[in-house]
Order: sequence, then C-alpha cells, then structure tokens
Amino acid sequence: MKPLFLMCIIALSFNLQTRAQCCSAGNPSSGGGTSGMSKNSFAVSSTFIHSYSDTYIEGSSPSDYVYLNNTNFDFGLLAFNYGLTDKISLSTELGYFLDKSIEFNKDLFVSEFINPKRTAGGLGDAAIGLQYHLDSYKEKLINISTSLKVSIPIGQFDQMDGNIILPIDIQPSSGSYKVKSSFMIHKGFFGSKFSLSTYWSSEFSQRINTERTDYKYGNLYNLGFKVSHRTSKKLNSGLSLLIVHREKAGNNSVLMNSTGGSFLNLQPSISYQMKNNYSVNSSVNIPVYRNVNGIQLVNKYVLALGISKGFQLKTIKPQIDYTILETLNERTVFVDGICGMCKSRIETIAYKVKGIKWAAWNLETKTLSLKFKDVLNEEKLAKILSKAGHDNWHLKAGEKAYQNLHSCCKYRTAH
Amino acid sequence: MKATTIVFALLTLAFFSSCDKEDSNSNILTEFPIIDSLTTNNIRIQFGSGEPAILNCYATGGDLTYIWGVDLGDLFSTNDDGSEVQYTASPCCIGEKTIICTVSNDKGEATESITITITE
Repeated sequence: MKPLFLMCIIALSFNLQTRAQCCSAGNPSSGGGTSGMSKNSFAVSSTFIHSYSDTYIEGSSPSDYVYLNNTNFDFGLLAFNYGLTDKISLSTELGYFLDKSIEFNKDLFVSEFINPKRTAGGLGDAAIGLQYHLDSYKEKLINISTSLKVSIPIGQFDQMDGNIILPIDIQPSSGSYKVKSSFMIHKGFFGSKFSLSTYWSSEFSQRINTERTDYKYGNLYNLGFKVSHRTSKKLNSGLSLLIVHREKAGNNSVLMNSTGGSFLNLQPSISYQMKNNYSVNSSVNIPVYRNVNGIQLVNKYVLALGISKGFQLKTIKPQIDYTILETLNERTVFVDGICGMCKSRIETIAYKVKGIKWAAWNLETKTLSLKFKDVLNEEKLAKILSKAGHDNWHLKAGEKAYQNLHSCCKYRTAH
Repeated sequence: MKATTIVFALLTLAFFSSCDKEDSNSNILTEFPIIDSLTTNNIRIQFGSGEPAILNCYATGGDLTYIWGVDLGDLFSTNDDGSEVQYTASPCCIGEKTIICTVSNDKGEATESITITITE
C-alpha cells in the first residue's frame, strides 16, 4: 500500500506542531490536528522537537540585556489520529520533556557556588481533539476543515529543584486547561502537484488559581500559510509562513508588561513516504521578525523530526455468508486509484450494485475482484465508479468527477 | 547445627540494624515547627540586577526541611540547610511577588510568606 493521503496528513499536522515557545510552561504550541483522515484509518506519529534561545529582544530590536544566557528544550510528542468517519477524525496527543533547561547569567548570583543551570523534565500536557472535514467546495479543489482541541495539564506543575519549587516558566506542564479552535483551507493546483494551505487558530487558557499561583497565559492567535510541492511520488516539500500573536499574560489580575508579542516565522519542511506506510518528516522554524512587549528572550530556532505510521484498521463490508461465496461467479476488473481512501470508496461503491456479494480492490494491481450472484451489471458499476472519479476498465472518469476526489486520491498526477 | 547458626546470625543482624535506626531517630528531638520570622534585606528589587533580595527563614522545631516557592522569578539556596535563599527576577515579573516558605519535620509543617516588589 502506498497511501499518499498519509503524506498529506503528516505534512499538515507536522507543520502545525513545530512552533515552540522558548520559555513557557507546558507543551509547545501545536495546531489543530490533522487533515484527510479517511474512515477507520489510524495514524501514529512521534515528533522530536529541539528549541534553543539565547537572544533578548526589546520591542523589535536586539537587546544587550542578559538575565538568562540561554534556554533550550528537547521535547517528544506522541500523537494518535483516528478517522471516525470520512469527515470526522479524533486526535490525541501526549507531550514529554526529555530535558528543559535554562542557564542564568552568573553575574546575578551572590555566591559563586550557586549552580547557574536549572533543569526540569517529564510529562507535559495531553490533548484531545476533534476535526471536522467540511469538504464543501470540491469543484474548486478546496478542502475546508475545522477543529476543536482541549489541552489537559497532566504533568507535574510543582516540579522542584532541590528545595526550590520551580517557577511557572520552566514547569513541564502548563498547569492550565486550554481550548484551541482551528480553521484550515487547503487548495490544490495543477492536479495537486502544488498546494496552498492556510489556517487560523486561537487558543484560550484557563486561569490558574492555586495557593501559590494566580496566573493566566495570554490568548494565542496563529495565522499560517503553506506552499507545498509534491516533488515526487514519495517526497513532499513545503514552505510555511507563520504569524503568531500572543496577548500579555496576567499575574494576580495584573497584565504583565514583558509578555506577549507578535512573531513572524519561516518554516521549510520536507516529508518522505517510506514503505509500509511509514513517513518521516523534518522542519526548521526560523524567526524573521519579532515585536515583543518589553524585553523578552525569544527563540533562535526550532528543529523538528518526526516519524509516522498509518494503518487502515478495517474496511466496512456487508455480512457475507462464506459458505455460498465459493459458488458465486467471479470477475476481476481494472479500477484506478492510489490510496486507502480510494480502496474504501471503490469497495463501498461495488457493494451498492445489486448482486455483488464480495469486493476487494488491490492497490498494487489496481484491480477490483468481485464475486457476484447471477449476472454482473458491468455498465452500472463502471458508471458509478467513473462518476465517483475512478477511471476503470470500461469508462474514463470525467475531469469534473476526478477533480472532486479528495486531494490525496489524485491518482493521475502520481502516475 | 548449621541452620541454627544462620538463624542466629540473621537475628543478630536484625537486632543491630534496628538499634541503629532507633539511635538515629532518638538523637533528634523534634517539635512542631514554628517560623519565628521570614525576613529579607530588600523588599524592592530591580529586575535582573546584581543586587537580589536575600531571604532568611528563622524557624524552630528540629530536623527542619525548608521548601521555597514563587510563581514567577527565581529562587536559589545560598546555604546548606536551605533556610536562606536569594530571589531575582527577569523583566516579565515586574510587580508584587509572594514568596512562600514551608518548613517541615516529622511533627508537621508551617508556612510563611513575604511580598517582594520587582521594579523596572
């Protein structure tokens, strides 16, 4: 199987998960989930993110101020995505900080024996989300999806270093429930050889109100644009422009001066589809413009490397009486397609034709094997398949029907 | 005969082990911890300056453990028993910050807080 739809999934989701803030609690900000999950398809992805920061900015200009020499983190994200239907998918995430450390300017200390490095690590936040694929403008090759995600602070929020409870900014967990809504539009060009996607997302945090902490993270707004190029059947490259705006955080009901700001980042990315539904991805996030409130330490770069695997858990078929299956007539015909989503569609269509009791489409050979009672209504089957966008042994699909296929199912451009 | 020797050796080992444990506890007489005072040399500090606030927690009760916490800004122990810390903060933390010190031993714990103002 070569489900190119997974490439789309990973390319989009990966893009959204590599924006990382340098010195905030909890998981790096992630996006609205995935796109293009077909029914009963399942994807597991693991992403490693490394972030490094050593530059202070005052407004939009570099500052000589040094409180921290640098901060960095190594973070792992495990994500599961499942297509509940062709339109609705469920996603879950689990974040883990392998290492989160800050190194202080030694001049701040009254004693030379104080360790200038402070580290934390462990479980960060978990998240669960639902994505709805609107897919309402097929004629124009436009796919629209929207998602809602809830972030849950499952990790430690009172992590200690010796006898000191660490402050909020280095805690692995955010300590706060967050709700994130996203809206994404994806448009293919030249038969999906090129694609342009844009998304908007907003994140709102619950106020933390404990005996020690009264804190509220600033609301976060993202706007992203991504140009992708399907360089080859297996290779996809892209370039994203990410605009991020974070409002000021609040502490004890007072807005904090040196928090929040606006950021513009460029993010080249690449993904490669391997055998057995594995896919590897890589991206680097480079800031090109920052305008922060007050003085802040900002990201220098964020690197990300991910691996994913997709599964087609099951194909829905009608109940079959296998004892009579052997007595049925057989026929194998050519039907073009490219992925697991195509397989599901082709087989579902076949079962709609009266008399067909068993259908299995083979991705490698592009053939549909059928078992049927009495006579096969070939005309009808070929017609429905072509109307759904699939060239077959009898009819070629019209251009309009072909363009109506999901962007990941565009088999003609992949040949 | 051999089994008797092994049992005797184990009993002897258990006896001395328990004696050691009892001795270590009996040397420290503890009482419910009481914080006499939580002081600082500077209740107003400038963010990121080389003159941080030094905080001292004076407490009684014996065998005390000191835990310090603040939601924003950075605390560092400056002595061995943890009763003294320095507090410094970055520009993000301008305003009033409450530092909490919790002192505990086997009899219980006591908490005291102090407010430091971070200025520009």
